Amino acid sequence: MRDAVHLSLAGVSLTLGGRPVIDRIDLAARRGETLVVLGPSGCGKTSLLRLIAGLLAPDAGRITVAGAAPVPGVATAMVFQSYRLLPWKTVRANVAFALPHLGERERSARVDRVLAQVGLGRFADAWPRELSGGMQQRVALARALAPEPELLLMDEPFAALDAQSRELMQAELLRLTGGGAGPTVVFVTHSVDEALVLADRVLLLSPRPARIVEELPVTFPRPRWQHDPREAPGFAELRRHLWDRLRAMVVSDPNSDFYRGGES
Amino acid sequence: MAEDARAVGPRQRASTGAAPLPVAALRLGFLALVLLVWWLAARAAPAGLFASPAAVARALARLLAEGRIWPALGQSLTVYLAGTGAAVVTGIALGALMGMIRPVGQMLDIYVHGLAATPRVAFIPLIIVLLGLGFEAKILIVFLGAVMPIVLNAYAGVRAADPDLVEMARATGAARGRILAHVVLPGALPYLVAGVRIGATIGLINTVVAELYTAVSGLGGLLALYGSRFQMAEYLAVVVVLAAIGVAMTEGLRLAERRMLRWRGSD
Ligand SMILES: Nc1ncnc2c1ncn2[C@@H]1O[C@H](COP(=O)(O)OP(=O)(O)OP(=O)(O)O)[C@@H](O)[C@H]1O
Ligand SMILES: [Mg+2]
Repeated sequence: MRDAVHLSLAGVSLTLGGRPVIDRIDLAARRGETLVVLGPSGCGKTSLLRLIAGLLAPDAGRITVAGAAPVPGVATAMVFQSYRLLPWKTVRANVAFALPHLGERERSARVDRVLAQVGLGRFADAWPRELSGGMQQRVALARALAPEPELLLMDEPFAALDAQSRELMQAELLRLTGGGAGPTVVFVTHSVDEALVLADRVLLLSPRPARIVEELPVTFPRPRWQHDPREAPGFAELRRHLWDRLRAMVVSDPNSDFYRGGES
Repeated sequence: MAEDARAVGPRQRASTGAAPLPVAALRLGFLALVLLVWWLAARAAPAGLFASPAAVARALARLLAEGRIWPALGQSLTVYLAGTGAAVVTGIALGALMGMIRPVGQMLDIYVHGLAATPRVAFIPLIIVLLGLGFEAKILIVFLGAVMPIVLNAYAGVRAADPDLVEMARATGAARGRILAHVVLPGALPYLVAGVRIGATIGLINTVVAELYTAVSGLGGLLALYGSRFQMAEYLAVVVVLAAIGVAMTEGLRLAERRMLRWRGSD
């Protein structure tokens, strides 16, 4: 069961506003696997997550999650870069918003449990504006984890955080999703280090329209919140390799700010 | 959204206990000034054309004691609250519908704007032909005045919904109704309250207009009666009662708004 394909995309293309954004992407993720999607700015990473969440329909190709076309719902959860908490709901009510399918008692027990997991038990009755950015993002993570999704989609969730909070959140994510029955994760980032810390596999995307230009298995031992992979042998090489690929793509992309007219 | 890393505990907010007293004092001071100007004006005016504050107060006390004002107040409040209440419900529902379903909004908004710009008094003869001179006609006149700003504000508020929050809600599997109730309407609340406040004011004006133009009744009827008899003290006492209704309504709305928007904090 763990090795079964959970998420698959076959020949998926997407056009937005007349411009191709995603170009014939194929990929498959096993149940419980963490895929990290790395790619230049504006290449179509968020659009890819929207497709997988069932928020957008592809123009061509086929997407299946657990064997069926994706529909938004409790089996799939999404974490966004800007935390997207409802400012008129308390922390507790924000998390409960993701649990409409549970009865009152079960819902409140679940909310208490996930808030304790992210270390915000004491802030259950606070308003979002009373929390720091890192705390708001932990609420967003709690909201995503609360329905115990099988598929967790994360769109640069830690990009707006300071360097320290970001490291702590990465460790927290590894701890919360790393256990035996953890969800399948698709994680989008701009950060090569973050990709290598979290991923079972890194997918490198081209500039828009996004294609997969490389798939890189990342085999550092787990649990990684205990063994920091950045000290593992091979980390520096993988890091340099990914950076070289990204840099080469960006400087040869005529739409990029860093375009060097094909000289490299 | 503020990114500062204040480690503020839940429900820990600056006390606002100091503010209300000076505000109340300022308001009372201004009221004293108005009364003074009124009193001076009443002294300067030829006898019988205007009444002093004291005469108005005595007239008001008399109206209240003799019970002459209560039936009129009851009639006016019935018309006012029924018409305005119907306008709030209908206006928010229609505005939300126009905002949530693009084609409905595009189809209707030009007509709503057009109707909002037409003086509603123009419809009174038509309303009388259709509904006669009774309660229904009055309630409809109040309703038509109050509903337009409520529709337009609800429409604007729903269209101003944060698309990021709507997408977040969609991603949890929420259907339209749930998104409306938990995301769109709470976000539109400041617009809704503004619309209701304007609507409630126009509703009160139209209550008096309706009472003057259809079967004369209520506080508007008393205005017509005392005005035609040059009983200026009684006339102004009725005006004071109308103003008090207006103040009670807007203050009530302000309190409700503060309670519903407490998530925004005191800024
Ligand atoms: N609704 C839309 N209509 C038209 N074009 C769109 C729409 N949404 C996105 N795009 C375009 O599609 C491209 C990919 O957008 P997307 O947000 O998926 O990229 P991204 O890789 O997530 O970018 P970033 O790195 O900035 O987060 C961009 O060029 C963007 O301008
Ligand atoms: Mg993006």
